[in-house]
Order: sequence, then C-alpha cells, then structure tokens
Amino acid sequence: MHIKPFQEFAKDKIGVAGLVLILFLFTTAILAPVIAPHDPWDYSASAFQPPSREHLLGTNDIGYDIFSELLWALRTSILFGIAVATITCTIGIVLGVSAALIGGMYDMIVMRLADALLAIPTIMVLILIAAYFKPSTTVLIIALSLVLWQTIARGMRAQTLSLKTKLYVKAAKNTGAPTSYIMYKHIMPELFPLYAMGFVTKARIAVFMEAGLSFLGIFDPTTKSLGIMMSYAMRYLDPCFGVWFNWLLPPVVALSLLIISLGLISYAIEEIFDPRLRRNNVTPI
Amino acid sequence: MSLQFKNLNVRYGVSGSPDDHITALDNISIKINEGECVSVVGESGSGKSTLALASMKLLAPNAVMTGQVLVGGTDVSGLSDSEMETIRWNEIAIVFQNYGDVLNPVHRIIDQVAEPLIKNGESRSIARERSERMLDYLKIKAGRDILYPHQISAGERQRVLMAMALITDPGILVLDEPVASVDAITKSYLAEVINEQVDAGKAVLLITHDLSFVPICSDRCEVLYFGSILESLPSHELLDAPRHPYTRALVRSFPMMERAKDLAGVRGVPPSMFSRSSERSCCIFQPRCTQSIGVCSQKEPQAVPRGDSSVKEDYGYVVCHRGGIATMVSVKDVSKSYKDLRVLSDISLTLDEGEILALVGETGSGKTTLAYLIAGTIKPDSGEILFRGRGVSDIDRKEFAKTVGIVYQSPRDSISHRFTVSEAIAEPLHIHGEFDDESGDRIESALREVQLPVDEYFLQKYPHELSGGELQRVAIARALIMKPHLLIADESTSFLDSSVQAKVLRLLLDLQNERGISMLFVTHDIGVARKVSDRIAVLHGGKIVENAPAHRVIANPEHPYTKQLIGVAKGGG
Repeated sequence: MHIKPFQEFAKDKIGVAGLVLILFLFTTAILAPVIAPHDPWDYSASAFQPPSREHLLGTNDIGYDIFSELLWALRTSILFGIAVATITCTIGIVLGVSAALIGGMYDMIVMRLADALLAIPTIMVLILIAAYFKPSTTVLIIALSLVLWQTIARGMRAQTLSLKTKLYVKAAKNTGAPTSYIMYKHIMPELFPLYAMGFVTKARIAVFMEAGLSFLGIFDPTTKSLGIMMSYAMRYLDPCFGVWFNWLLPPVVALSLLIISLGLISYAIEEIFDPRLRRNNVTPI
Repeated sequence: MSLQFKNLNVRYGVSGSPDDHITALDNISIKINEGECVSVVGESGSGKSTLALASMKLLAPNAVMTGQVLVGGTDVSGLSDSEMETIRWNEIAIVFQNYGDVLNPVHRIIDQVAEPLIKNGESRSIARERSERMLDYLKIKAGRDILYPHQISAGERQRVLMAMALITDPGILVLDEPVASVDAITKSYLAEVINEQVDAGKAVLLITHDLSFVPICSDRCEVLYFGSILESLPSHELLDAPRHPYTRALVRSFPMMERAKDLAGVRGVPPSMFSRSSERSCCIFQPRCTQSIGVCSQKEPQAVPRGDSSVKEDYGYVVCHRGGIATMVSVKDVSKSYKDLRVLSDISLTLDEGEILALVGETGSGKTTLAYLIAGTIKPDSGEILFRGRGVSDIDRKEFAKTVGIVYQSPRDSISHRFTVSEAIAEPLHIHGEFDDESGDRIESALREVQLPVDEYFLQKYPHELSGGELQRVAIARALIMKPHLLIADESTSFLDSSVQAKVLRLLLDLQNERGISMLFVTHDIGVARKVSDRIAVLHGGKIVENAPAHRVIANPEHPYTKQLIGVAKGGG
C-alpha cells in the first residue's frame, strides 16, 4: 500500500500540534542570541530580583538574567538532541543495513555488539564515566550516540532483510540492477518511516539525558542547561527566597514542552506508518 | 508415370511492377515417382495453384515459364498447345479448385464426366456407363448424376471434379485443394480414393492447405512460401516435427482436433508479390521469422539436410541459414540444491527459438528454480546452461538481463507500491541507463501493446489504484520494454480470476506470436499449460518425467505422475 507521508501528517491533528510546538521552541532556541535581553554569562542586576520588565523572569542567586539563561539552555538541549539523534541514526542505519546486505561474519559481529549494548545498563555506565571524566559537550554527544544506536541498527537490519525478499526488489535485481540502485530506489525509501521514528525517539532520549546528567552535576557547569538551572534553583527552594515559580518552574515547563512535542510527533509518525493504529481504519485496496 | 519439376520458374508479366513482372515460382524442383503422393502446402498466394497449372501448361497468357516439367520423362515445357492436348487428361489430369463456375452449368454432370471419354472416341453408351460407375465409386447417389451442377452440393461437385479427372485413368493426378469445400466424412472418403489411386501406381501432386490431410494421403510434403520451397519433409513429420520456423508457424495456425493450444497466425503479413525482385539478396521469410540473425537479411539461404546425415532415410531439406528451428536455451545435466535440500537433479531440457514451453509441476517441484537458473539469476551446482550456444554464466549478467523478461506471480508484490505506472515501466530503462527523451514514447507504446490507456492520469496511478489484471499488464509491459528474446512467465496468471486470466493469457500469447519471442511458461495448472504451450515438460521430484509436444502429453501421458495430474485436472481422482 502506498502512503504519502507528508499529506497524511498534515491531516493528523496531534502531529501538527507537536510540529507547531517544536517549531516554536526551535525558533526561540535558534534566535536565542538575538532575543535574549542580557548576556546569560554575566552579572546584569542584583541577586534574586523578582520578575520585572527589565528581567522577565527575574535574576538568580548571582544576578544573572533567568530568561536569557532559559533561552540559551533550550538551545543547548535542542542542539544536543539533534546531534545525538543524527549520529545515532547514521551509525544505526549504516551498521544495520550493511549487516543485512553483507551478512555472514560481519552481520554476526555487528549484531552481537548490539546485543551486548542492550544487555549492559548503558545509561548507568555513561553516568559513571561522565561523573569521573567530566567530558565536554561534544564528547558527551559522541559517547551517548555510541550507546544508543543498537535499537536503530536492529530495526534497520530486520527491515532490510525483509525488504530483500520482496518480489519487487528481486524483480529489479533480476533486471540487472546494481546494489546501489536497489539501495537508493527501493531500500532507503522504505526505511524512511523507521528512520523518522528512530530520529524523534532518540532526540527525546537525548534531551532527557542531557537534562538529567546536568541536573546531577556531571556536565560542564559553564554550559547553560535546563538541568543545571533546575539543579541550582532546587538549592533555593526555601519559601523565604520565593524563587520556585520564576526560576525552577520555567526550565521544567520548557523541558516538558520539548519532550511532549517530540512525543506527539513520534506518535503521529507511528500512526501514519502503521495502518492498524489509524482511527478511521479504512485503507485503500 | 512420374512427374518432375526441374528448376521451374514462373513469372507473370504485370505492368507497373518494378521489373514489369512478378515472380510466382522460383527455382522449384520436385520429383514425384510412380505410386507416390507429394503434397504442397503454404499460405494463399504462395504459388501453389501456379504450380498445379504449370504441370498442365495451363498458365495464363502473361506467364513466362522457364525450366522443365517432365511428364513421364517428356519435357512438356516446350510443347505446343496441340501437342499438349494429347497429354492432358490422358497422361496427366487435374482436379481444379472447386469454385462455383468450374463445371459447365448447362450440361448434366454425367455428361461432363463422360466428355473426355467421348472425345477419345469411346461410344456414348459405354462412356455413360463408365461415368455412372465412376460417380458411383465416388459415392454420388444414384439418380443424382443426371442433375445440373447448380442442383448438387459443393461436396458432390468436388467429387464430380474428381470423377472427371479419374475417368481417363491418367498416370499423373494433380489435385488442387480437393478437400477445401467438403465435410469431414467426405474428406476421409476422398482420402481413401486418393490412397487407392496412389496404390494403383499413379503419381499424385496434392495441393492443399488442410495440414491434417497431408499425413493421411501423401508421403512427402513441400512447404511453399512466396514462390520458394522452404522445407521438404516426410509428411508424418509435418505436424509433430517441423524444422523451418515457417512450417511451424503454419502448423500452429492450423486447427487440429487433438491440440488445445490457441491458434495463432503466422506473425506479420505476407510480403507483396511486387516487392520480390528476381535478384535475391536475403531469406524471403526473414521479415516474419522468429529467429533471424544478421546473415538472414544479407544472403540467400541454401538447402541443408533436415535429419542427421548418418541416417540413410531421406528426411528432406530445410532452406534456412540456421539449419531450421534453432535451439535458444539448452540445459544440460543441471543439478541444484539449497543446503541439504536437492531441488533439481540432472535436468536436461531445450527451448527452441519462438517456442512456448510449459514447465508443469506441483508446488515445490523446482520449476521456479529451473526458470531462474535459465534466467541466470541463480547458478547451478553442476551442469551447464547454454543460451544461443554461450554459457549463461559467461555472459555479462546485466547484458543478459536485457534479453530475458520475467513476469512474476503476484503483480501486487512485483511492483513497488511507491512507483507510479510510468515509473514501474521505466524501471528497466533506468537500470540499463537507457532512459532518455524518447522513453516517454517507448512507455506509451508498451502500454498500448498491453492494451492499457496511455493518458497522463493513468500514467500517474499507483499500484493500489489498479485492478489485478491491469497491474499484471503493467508488469508485462515492464518485462517487454527492453525487447527481450525470452519471456519467463512464472505462474503469471495464477493469482488472477479466470476471466482476467483468460485475457492476460490471450495477451501473452498474442505478444509472443507478434514478437516471435520464446516463452517459458511456469505453471502448476496443466489445464492452462495445455492451452498455451507447444511443448510441456513435467517436473516431479526434481526430475523431468515428461517432455513432449503438448497435445501428445495430454493425449498419451507416459509417466504415472502426469496421468495423475491430468486426472486431477479433469476432476477425477
């Protein structure tokens, strides 16, 4: 059955809602250097200022503008998510598809590696490593990508193996098509839904991981991050400071919105490509 | 008395044609001994009747005849009309083609039969008595012999004509379409009469387009095409083992009782007589041939012996550069296993040019494996497969893929759901890097060939918007766009309902015939195989248990498995 993914997506209210939300957050993050009223790395007023026209969300314990900090932290989260998702999916696709196409010993090695990564509680290992080495953002992105690719690779391999046995792929092969043609014309387009799903899911995990790791304080403390913001705000939870609603709440809401929007999109994609999940279950014959 | 044509040429002077004449017979040599019947077959306009008339020197005034016609050793080609009079009817008699006006409408039939005797000086009463006996011998009912030609039926008229030829008891009999207008019962009686005449020592030249009549009456058969003999063969081989592509096409066009395959005419149209000049530089059958190669359009072919030269018996000759129907694919002792599972063991099989071979067997019998081995997409464990004399494994894979088109079982699965109709058909062009500005026209003509619309709306449709029959036509168009020489249909119609299946089968057969390509038809349905194939090979347990002309397999299956297949197909046990 043929699906026109973009048209289907446009019809899906949940997906569109997620997309609008993520675009809004994206734009805000990209434009952070322009929008932010103050330098988030510099003292701009006295500490614990309540929200005002000058400081929309007030200032923190050392007088930094919270609103500017929030924008830059969002930017970090989104960049981190995109970077991890891109690298993870690339590794996953390359390893998964090549394992399926090449097969044999190579396939076995790749798949046992993936199994091993599935068996080890990689996140715990990553936390330990991060706590010990205090790596930079780039290193953390790579490290996270290296432990997240296995599910993508497994999915890609399974799908490619099943595509390989499709009659139309065999037909193209019998017509004399080289492997590159089959990859480009038949395998890749079929893998797209899997790729899109994987990308969104991994981005969500990455955003969450970044916030979590930085909340635990095992992240470069000079980086602006939603987790670090939450972590600092938590120290001044005592009601006498009265900062929870202008310091703690904004990063929590931003992180939630980001994760919810990614969740909505992945939900919509899944629904489009798996007709069984469709609400009006009428499929063209 | 024998009849012999030696290097006979007949040309008709026709103003307006290139050389002011057209060639009706070109270098014909036939010898008919005493007590022998030789038949001449061919399409209309091939020169059969000219040959009959030439033997009697009854050609139209604008005809120019060269070469010799020997009637009992005397060359009659130089004789004058009056000298010819003494030979005609006494030594050589003709039964003309039975048109409405061959008999004189104002004389009773018995008088017309008696006429030659009276002319020879016989008394009227004896002549009438002999005529009565002759008409009685030819089963004209008593009392009907005094009727006029318009009062008797066409079948009776045919027998009257025969009586006229036999009444003078000539040594040579020339029969021009003697059974064209008679029913089957009369036909078999006439066959008896002809055989009696041959046994009595007459030399008979039988001109007919009724191929089933040929083996019954004649010993040898000459296949005439466009004024030339293309094949000369023993009559019993005509229906079962023709060696020239033209003879085979002729046999395929002829309705035979035991054969179930759909009839297909000889591909293309007969050439115009005007197009033939006396100087020949190619094989005349080349434009319609299913196996022509470069040399066929450059040189006139020579006659080569049909059979193997070590056999004493004369199997005639065939005029073809390729020595008759050539083998396209030959499979020699091929075995194939998938891991421990032996699928095919020591398979040997051939597929001729322009032939439809059905590969029949139950699911899992290895027929698809064999088809893909021939297509070169998988390799055999042992043995070899030759395509036009070259090992399939030695031919460049991509190049070979162009020569083989495959139509798969399920059109839904064999065409990507992402492709539109035009993309699906264009796929082989993309793969072979032949997609260019003219591809649109190629796709359109391919669609027209499979009887699908060519409008932009249809071209942009996706597979799920088409019916199974339409989709299978698209798959056929895709398989044929590279102009393959071999088409493999792998259970191509088994997913379709019987109405659509009938249409798709019809289409496949028409395309096969028009393009003159070979076809390997893989099916589990012996009923379908019987309708489409020239030959059926039955696969059972990885071995070929039966391999013979389709009608013979159906009528006389040899292997118990084939018998069972046919029994089950008929609805029995």
